[in-house]
Amino acid sequence: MKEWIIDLLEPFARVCFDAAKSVRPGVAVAVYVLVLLVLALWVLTLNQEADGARDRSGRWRMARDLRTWAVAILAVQAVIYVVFG
Amino acid sequence: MQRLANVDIAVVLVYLAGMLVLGFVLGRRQRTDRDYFLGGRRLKWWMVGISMVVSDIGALELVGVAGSAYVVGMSVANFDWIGCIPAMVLAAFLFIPFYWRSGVFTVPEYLGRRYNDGVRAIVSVLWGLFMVANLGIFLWASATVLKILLGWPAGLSIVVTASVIGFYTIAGGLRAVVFTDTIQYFVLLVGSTVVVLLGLAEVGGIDGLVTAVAEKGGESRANFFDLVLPADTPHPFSWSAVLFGLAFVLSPAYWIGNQAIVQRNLGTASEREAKKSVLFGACLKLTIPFLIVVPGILGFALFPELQKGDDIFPTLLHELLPTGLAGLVFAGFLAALMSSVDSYLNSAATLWTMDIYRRYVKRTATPEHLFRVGRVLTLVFIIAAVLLAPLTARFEGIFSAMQTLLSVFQGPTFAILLLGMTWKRATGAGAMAGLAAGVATSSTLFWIKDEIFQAADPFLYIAWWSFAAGIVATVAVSLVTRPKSAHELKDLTYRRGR
Repeated sequence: MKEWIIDLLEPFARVCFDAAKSVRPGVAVAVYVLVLLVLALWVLTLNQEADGARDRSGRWRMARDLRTWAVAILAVQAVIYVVFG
Repeated sequence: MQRLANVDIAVVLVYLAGMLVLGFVLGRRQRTDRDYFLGGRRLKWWMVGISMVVSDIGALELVGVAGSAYVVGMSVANFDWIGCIPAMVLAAFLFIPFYWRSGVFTVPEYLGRRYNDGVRAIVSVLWGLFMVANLGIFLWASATVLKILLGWPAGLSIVVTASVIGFYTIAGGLRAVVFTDTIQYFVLLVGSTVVVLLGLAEVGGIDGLVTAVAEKGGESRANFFDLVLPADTPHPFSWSAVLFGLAFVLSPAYWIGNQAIVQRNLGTASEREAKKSVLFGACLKLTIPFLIVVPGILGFALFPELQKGDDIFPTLLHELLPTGLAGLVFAGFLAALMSSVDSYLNSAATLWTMDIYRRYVKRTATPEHLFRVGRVLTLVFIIAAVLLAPLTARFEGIFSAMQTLLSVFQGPTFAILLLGMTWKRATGAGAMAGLAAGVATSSTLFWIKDEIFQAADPFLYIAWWSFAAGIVATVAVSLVTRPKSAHELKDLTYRRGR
């Protein structure tokens, strides 16, 4: 049974490994940073979050908007990967 | 063989006594399940954020991550960066609002409403068992350090730490857990900072560190300071494993589906506070690798001859720190240990009380009765953890032991959670099929991992494939079974602009 499963999956595992191995480290870092940036863009589209960022006079305050903090955190994270990647 | 001086032991004892008193005081005013399991829904966002992070660090991370960093280097930091930050942001804006609005106590309770009671029961039993097993791993991590520092046998260390943690968790519930976590974070912060600063001074600063690693590590440590490693690295943390297994599956499964984490968010006073707590936690996470990964790297530069990576943290404490400071840093270690154990202890009790006992044993239980059941179960679980702890010795590393346990069912659980929230067509039968297919996949891959995977200990890849199997099976079966009506799914699935 075990041998049969291994024979079945081994070629597929080999293809996946070869594909991952062919990616250069610089490209892999770029993929990581892209994931972070895409997430930051998604956060910015959450317009309903602006409601919670208004002060008593109804004005939108950047520092009260949780999206600002989320994007800042993701940006710092992206910089870390660019530097240490 | 006693390694800590009397001054150090006095520092530790004062700290432990403080935790016990705090737990006792906070527990006095508790009467109901809501008080015990959700802190009365009055927890402060910043305390919850700290509590989430410090529970995640734990003694396990101090010992295990420092140990992995000693062997692998900087790439272990991925567990706190790409393996936390994106998932926490996603949790804050997408998942936590659902949990909070629905007023549930547990993640399985949400799944029960979204799918059916069968899914709820399976997930709660899986998580409940995992948490108890994990408690054993945490206690074993403490024994590893205590053995080196105090010369205590493992059994004695486990019983002593379990007794202290069990006492204040039984007494104070989630409120005590979050309050003690907050104090423990600052103790841990000071302790780890001291280790890093003294280590850097000893090795000659950052330049000295880089030079020492190059000289002592040679070719085997060529990528020691790289975050992103090539796919053919012999370690489990290649770029593809980290991205697919950690960032896309295990991390969101942890921050979104782990009861011990989510439960704290449910204890905040409002949905906005819950979101703020997660984002604050993400902010703190940016700094964590400097406190727990860097000591492991410094450890290699200073003590490159260790046989086991997991020995580096206690070795640093023993060899690097002067009297008094060793006690403080050791208290930091205990703080990390306690924060993890108390969190899992409280959450395991919550799961078994709210999802199993209330659902299948006594449906008419009053809040006061559930509160008492929760306390009894907390006691039962800490005893079970003491009995399970020695099994951890069978794994090569403490950190791997935990990740292995996690990767068996975290992937499929996250798959049904994700589809449940984002896809209205997902059905209860589909979720059951997804869970079964995912767990079967991960179990099979663990069975044949040495023949299939190139990397050692490929738990990240296994998590990814079990998640993929869970998604495919859930979608396939859902498409041929009848979904719930729009009315039944009200407030249970994601809708843009809400």
